[in-house]
Amino acid sequence: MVGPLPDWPVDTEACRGTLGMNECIEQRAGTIGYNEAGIGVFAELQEISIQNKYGRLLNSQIAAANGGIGAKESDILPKDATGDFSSVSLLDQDGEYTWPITLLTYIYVRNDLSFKTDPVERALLVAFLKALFDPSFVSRCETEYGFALPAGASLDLSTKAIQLLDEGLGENGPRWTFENKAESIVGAGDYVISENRHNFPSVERDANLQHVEELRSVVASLEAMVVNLTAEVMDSQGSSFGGDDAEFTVEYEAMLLASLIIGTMSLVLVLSGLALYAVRSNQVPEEKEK
Amino acid sequence: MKILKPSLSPMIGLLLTVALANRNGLVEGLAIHGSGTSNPARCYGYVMETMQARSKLPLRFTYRSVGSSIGLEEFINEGNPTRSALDFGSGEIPLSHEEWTDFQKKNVTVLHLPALFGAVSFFHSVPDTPNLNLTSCLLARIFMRDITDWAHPDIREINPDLSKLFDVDENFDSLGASLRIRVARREEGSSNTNAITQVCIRNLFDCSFSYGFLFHSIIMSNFLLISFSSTSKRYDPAVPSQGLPSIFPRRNGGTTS
Repeated sequence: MVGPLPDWPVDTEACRGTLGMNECIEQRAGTIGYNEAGIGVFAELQEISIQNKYGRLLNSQIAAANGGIGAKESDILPKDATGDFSSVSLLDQDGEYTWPITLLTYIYVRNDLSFKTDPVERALLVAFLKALFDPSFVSRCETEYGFALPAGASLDLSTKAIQLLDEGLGENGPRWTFENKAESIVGAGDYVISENRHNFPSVERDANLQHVEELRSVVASLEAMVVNLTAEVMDSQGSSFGGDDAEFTVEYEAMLLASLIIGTMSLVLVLSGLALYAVRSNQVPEEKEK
Repeated sequence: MKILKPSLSPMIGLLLTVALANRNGLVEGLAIHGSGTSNPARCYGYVMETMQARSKLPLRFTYRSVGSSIGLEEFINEGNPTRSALDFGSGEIPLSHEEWTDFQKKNVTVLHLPALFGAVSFFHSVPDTPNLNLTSCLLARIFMRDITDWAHPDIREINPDLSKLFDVDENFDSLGASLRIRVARREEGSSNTNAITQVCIRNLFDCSFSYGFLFHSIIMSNFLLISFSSTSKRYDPAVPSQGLPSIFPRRNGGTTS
């Protein structure tokens, strides 16, 4: 399928997958690599600021905060989802805050879904596609996983395409609906995805995610406290701290000890949070079996 | 009325029950399967799991993270006009003009739904350097191993803080201390590799003039090759180490994966 292409220089390090890339960067000092920004940022890797076409140096988080990811798609997308997308590229587009290496992730689906013989499954596929463009399902993809959700022309294009698929289900064909606000009787139907219905793993998952968030904020405040205490110690010592004429008093010793204790506490909190998360995650299947 | 033999009755009854249960999705559940790029796998996984949890009937959703190329291949299914190898595909690579035209000829309408916009970025592990700036030109030179040390003057020129890491004289020349640049790249073909390659090459063409005629000539020849390859052909995950061109002579004949 692909003709011969030039090879990488031989002394580059091959890394398998996105997580393998993270490991390659983390494990050896002085390494440079590339990854999907959300994955790298989530792993707390140090991001490099690069220059966009406008000439501004920025990282992906600054670009995202200024609407610079996927901002120019309306100029280059075909008019509808049935068109030829082969020339669409969001790389190196104009704009002050435009991120130069932006990728557009497509869902490919055939307009004729009759290959799925069960009409309920056919309708379920359409419902799944609707969920992929419903903020109540995908907002986490933006806030936690670093994607920009389609808006404007691209969202309009996808919505119309799903409408086309929905019409293809036929007037009397089964349809899945979404219950956001409790609807008596209707919400208890077979083909309803109800926001009010939960199972044990999903409840546990949500509780764990909330717990991790709380721990994160505790750790952040402890870290800030350590920084402040350290700064206060340095200030109280003035520029001579650590110099030849400085005296390391009992007071300073106590302050440093406090800093160390708080630092250790934050580490313990993080580790206990992760352990708790791991334990609860492992418990879910066992409890489900019971 | 014909009476079934006692030994067969339970078996047929069981088969009928299974068949009916399966028809109503009670055994395997109603299933939707997709495959493709790994970038949005967590996002899709979250949506799938949420739908499963909110459904009264058992649902089974799966998504195989196998890369854009395989996702598209399975969706195209060798141009099969009746069905794909899965229910949906996902990837950062659209159908090529030839593939799209081929479907048109077979009266098959294919939909591209723009689902997510993602950024590909560069990351580093240079100690004590939270802010590191690089131009596309420098990135390309680093990945092609033209620049192999973080103490290189061209890098320090736009990163004055880096000089604190290394001993430099008043002319910004390194006095010996250095940190070797290790370049990490994907072993398999990926849309991320494809994207960074295209952007770096595009900008390298602009910046190559400052490195002399010879360098420019080499860039020109490689640029044309890459431009042609990247627009006319798709990256193949089965072919390892596709990416930036080695503009310098290869040192021992080939890359390993």
